[in-house]
Amino acid sequence: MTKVHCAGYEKISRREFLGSSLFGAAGIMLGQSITALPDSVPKIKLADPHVGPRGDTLVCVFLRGGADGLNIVVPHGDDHYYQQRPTIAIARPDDGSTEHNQRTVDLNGFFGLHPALAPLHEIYSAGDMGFVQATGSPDETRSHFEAMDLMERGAVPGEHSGWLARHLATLDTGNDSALRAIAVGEMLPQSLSGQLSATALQSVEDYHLRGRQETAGELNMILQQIYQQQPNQLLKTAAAQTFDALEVMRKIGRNPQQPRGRKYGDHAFGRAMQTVAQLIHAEAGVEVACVDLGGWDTHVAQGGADGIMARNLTRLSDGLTAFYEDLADKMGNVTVLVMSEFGRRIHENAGKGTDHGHGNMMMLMGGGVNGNRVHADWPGIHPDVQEGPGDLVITTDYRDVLGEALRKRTKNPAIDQIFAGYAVGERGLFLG
Amino acid sequence: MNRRKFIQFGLATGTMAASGCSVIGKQMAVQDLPDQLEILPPSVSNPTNLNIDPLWRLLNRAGYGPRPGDYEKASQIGYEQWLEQQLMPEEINDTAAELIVSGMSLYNADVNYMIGFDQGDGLRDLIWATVARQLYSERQLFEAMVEFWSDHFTIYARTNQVLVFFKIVDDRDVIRPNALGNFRELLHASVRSPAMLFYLNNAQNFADHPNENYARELMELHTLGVFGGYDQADVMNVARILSGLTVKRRGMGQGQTMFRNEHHDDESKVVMGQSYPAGMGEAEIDRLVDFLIDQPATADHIATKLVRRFVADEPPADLVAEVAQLFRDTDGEIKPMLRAIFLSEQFKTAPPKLKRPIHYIVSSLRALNVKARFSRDLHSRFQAMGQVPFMWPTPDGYPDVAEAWVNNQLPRWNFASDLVHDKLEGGAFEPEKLVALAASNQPADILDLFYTLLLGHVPRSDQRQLLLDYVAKASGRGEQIDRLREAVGLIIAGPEFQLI
Repeated sequence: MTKVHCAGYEKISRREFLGSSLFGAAGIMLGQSITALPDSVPKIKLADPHVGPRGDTLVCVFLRGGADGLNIVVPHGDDHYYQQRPTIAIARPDDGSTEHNQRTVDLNGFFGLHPALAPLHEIYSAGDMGFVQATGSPDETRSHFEAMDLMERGAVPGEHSGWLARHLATLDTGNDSALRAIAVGEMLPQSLSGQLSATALQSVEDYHLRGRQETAGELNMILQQIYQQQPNQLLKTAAAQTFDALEVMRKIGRNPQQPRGRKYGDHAFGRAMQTVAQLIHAEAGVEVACVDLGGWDTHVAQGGADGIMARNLTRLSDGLTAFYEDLADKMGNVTVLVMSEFGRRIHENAGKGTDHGHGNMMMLMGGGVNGNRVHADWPGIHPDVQEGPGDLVITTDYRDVLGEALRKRTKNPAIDQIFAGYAVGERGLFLG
Repeated sequence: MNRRKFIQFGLATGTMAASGCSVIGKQMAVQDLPDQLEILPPSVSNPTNLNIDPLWRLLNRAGYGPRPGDYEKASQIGYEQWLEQQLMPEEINDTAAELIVSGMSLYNADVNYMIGFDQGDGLRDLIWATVARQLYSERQLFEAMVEFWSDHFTIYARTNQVLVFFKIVDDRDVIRPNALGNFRELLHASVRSPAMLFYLNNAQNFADHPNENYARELMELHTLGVFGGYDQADVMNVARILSGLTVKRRGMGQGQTMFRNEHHDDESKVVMGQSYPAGMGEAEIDRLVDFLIDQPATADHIATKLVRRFVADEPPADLVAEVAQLFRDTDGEIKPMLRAIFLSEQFKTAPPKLKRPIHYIVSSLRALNVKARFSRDLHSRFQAMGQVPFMWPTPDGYPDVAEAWVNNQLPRWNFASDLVHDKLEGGAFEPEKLVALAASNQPADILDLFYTLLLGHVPRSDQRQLLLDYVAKASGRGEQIDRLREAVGLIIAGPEFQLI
């Protein structure tokens, strides 16, 4: 598989990335040769959906750009970590030569959290957060584009619908909300590709009838009247559901609930997480929500306890912690998954950054998580056990994580259809 | 058709002429507003029976809906004659659309040249070539059939970084030359389309590593249908027949289909009872394709899909049978099937069909004579509604039934609102030029004009009254114009414009 040059990737979000590639910013895929085409297997065929009750709301946070999992869930008990990252490693929890707030926050004696994620430790200790280390997609690609597509499709090359789209298509919960599947952002992620009724929204305020402020109410009412008189039942029902969703949004917008915990932070990720929380509070019928956080492509000067990556981790920590505290007891019916398309090289590069790698971490949060532990079949990072150009080996296929979440938390039994061609294992990551 | 009043108007068309914008602009002026438009009187039809005028329906289903004046032109030559003209697209002057497309550097390039470019540039050319023709081509039925076959032989243009360029070739060399031709020739061309061979993995189907993806879809989706009477052993054997049919990946002739005998399984096979002796080589591929086309199930499958697309989500069985028989009698000629469909009683009396997003957007731009150009905004509207050309990920093509689309209403309503407020980047709405057609300053006349442009008739009086009351609340001329724009937006957002 060819590597794709990604200079400048870290400066742009995925949305801009995709947008620019559609609108002519050249360079990203230049020189692609057709010898690089992936081999593929047949597409997935879906049976009639399983009819059953709703399980958890699934919130999928995608860290776009390849987040450096070794500096997130830090293997501070492994000497090779410090040997291969002389300037960017995060200090040991007991490293007396470093300030307290610059050290790894210990999780289990071997792994610890980046200090910017210290607020998550409380959730972890409460048993509502767990981490998976050395996980990811077995595909060898180290191209952002390809890796994201593969991961969001469910790592089935040749299958172009998304894993969340297949999840929704195979589970009939009787929930006909117009907001059953949402993505906070300008466009739907690949994981929802093939789900025609998924809604992309930037905020609660964004989901409204556009037009002049002063006539919005009148127009809404007339359109409702027109649809109420409509003999076509299908259209009439769809319109009624849309008006319901608009009303939910209007109520939230008019009477915004103040977050019950700490602040979400004044950044896009915080606002996106708050939007999801508002919809869950309002019982708007959300079953799947996708949120992106970009900026992880840290080839140069990624920093250690401080720096570019630390600042991004602070945003992640803000958003997750505020979300958890805001939803409080409702977290019993919410599962948050945090993932990225691949991890990064074990050894730091000459630019004090890291290059595209392979194995990575994932975060699990919610009342149904088997928390307070790091789930890792740790392969080690000794040069002899590295994968490819010096990357973390994957010992837990990421489909095991997603599949177990879908089976146990969203109550979807059709895992064999969602991840066709892969036997999802039981890793004890979730309760239920 | 009686009781229509004809409204004459002056030379509003003159102002629409191109503003110094090259030869394309001059050609576009040819398509500008007609010199007369007819306005239907308010209809008193029963709301449970929409009574769609057959000619109006024909223009909306055998194409992307009328531009101002198209309906009048069509009614002058008559229903059948309009259909016959559309069935002979090569005799219809189409300079405006062809000029737009001819200016696209990648869409018209050699595949070797294209492969060095960014896939985004290729996608933009391919999508806009398609949408521009839907908008501006006079060969409306031809474009409707291009969309039909592009769904039937779906190729996901983002399968990988270069697939879009092969899809451009597929559009130029497979779909368009055969869209109104013969299914046998169309299928033979598709089987040798590099885009299809890559998309469905036959490019990686070798004797020692068989890949049955294309073999299965060739039978299930392209010919026999899922209940076409084949089993898994047949799929395997079709894959063996197709093994070695691949695409040259490098050097001279890169991107061309080629048959590699050394990767072909040349042992004997049996497919659905027909035997293929050992040693046939490439010849057995043509034999297989002809065999599949000759199966009765293939005629049934194609007929069902055509009738579903053009008549009803639940295709009437008698019409399907008639069309399938025509397929068999004419050896897969496409025109006789279309003629039978559009002249049928079932077509004229079928329940309304929900417009798919592309149809919804394009028909609104056509009805309001919007001068559109490709923009990020326009692209995002297709995306928000769920249908960007060539972006359906799975090989079954975009769904053709209302259930798949109907829930995603808000993007349609907001498109309507932004369009009438002239907030759609790349789509200039210039109502004053249309309003000149009404030859009246009365809001009721203006509203009826837009009803007629968008729906072909003026609907029930209570619904019309709602909009009239809304406009009447305006306190001044400026507010009145804003409210008239919004009333037009309500017509586009409303159910009757979504159904045809």
